[in-house]
Amino acid sequence: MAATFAWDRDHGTQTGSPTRGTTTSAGVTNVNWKNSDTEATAYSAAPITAGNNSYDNWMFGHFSGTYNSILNGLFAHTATAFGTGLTLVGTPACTGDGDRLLYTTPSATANANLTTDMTSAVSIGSGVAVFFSGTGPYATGKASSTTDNPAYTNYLTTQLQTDVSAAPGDTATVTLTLQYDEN
Amino acid sequence: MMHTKQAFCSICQAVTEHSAALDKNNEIALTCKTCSHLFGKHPLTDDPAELQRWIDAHQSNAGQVTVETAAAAQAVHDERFKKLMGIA
Repeated sequence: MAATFAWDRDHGTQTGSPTRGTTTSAGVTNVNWKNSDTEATAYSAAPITAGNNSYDNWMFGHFSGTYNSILNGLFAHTATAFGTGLTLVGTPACTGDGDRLLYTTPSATANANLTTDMTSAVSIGSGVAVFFSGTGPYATGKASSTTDNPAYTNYLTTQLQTDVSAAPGDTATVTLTLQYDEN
Repeated sequence: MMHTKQAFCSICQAVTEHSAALDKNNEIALTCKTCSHLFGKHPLTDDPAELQRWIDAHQSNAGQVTVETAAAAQAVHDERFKKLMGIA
C-alpha cells in the first residue's frame, strides 16, 4: 500500500485563524498562472498583460491512502526555462512551524512574502524545505515529518511576475516538483 | 526615476547592481544590470527597512544548483567512469 497524493488549491477571501481560503479545489493538475483566482476560468480568458503579475496561486500537497509517515519534503521548479521578462517567485523554505506562509486573499499585487526566486530550473535538492501536518496547509503543528492521515504540506504558493519585455502568448510549460519520502 | 540597489541575483549567483524603478502599477521592480533578470516586485512602501528585508530574504537562493549545472557535473563524472572502465 502507498500514500495517495493530490495537489489541491485554495481560493477566495482569506478566512479563519490561521487564515485559509474560502474554497478549496481538490485534485488540480496544473498551475496556469493567470489574471484570476477563479479555478474555472481558463488561463487564456484571463491573460497576464506584460508588466503585470499573476494572481498568487495557493497550491499545496494532500496525502491520503495508506502510509506510516510522510517526510523530507522539497519543492522546486525542476524543468524548462522561462522566457525573458518572466520571474517566478515562490514560498520561502519552511523549516519551522512559524515559517509556514499564512494565506492571504489572492490578488495581482506583488506578494512580497514570496521570497524564493524560482525562475531557474534547479535540481530538486536545491528546492525549498516543505513541512507537513494534519488538518490543512494552514494548520499549526507543521513539522518535517508527520504520521497524520490525511496530511498536508504548508502552502506552496507561487506568483508569476512579468516586466514589459515578456513575450505575448503562452509561457513555456515548466515543471514544479514536490519531492517527499513515505514509509 | 531610476535608482540602483545591491541585491542577490539568483541567475548570476552573486550580489549585483540592480536597477530599481516604479512600474505602471506603482510596484518597485528590481532588475539585474548584469543579466537583465527581473529580481521581483515589491509593493511601494515608505519603510526602507521593509524593502531591505525583502532584498535580504532573496539570499536564500545562494548556492542553488541549476539543472544545467547538475547535468554538466554528471557528464564529468560519467566521462571519468567511462575512462576508468576503458570505454572512452
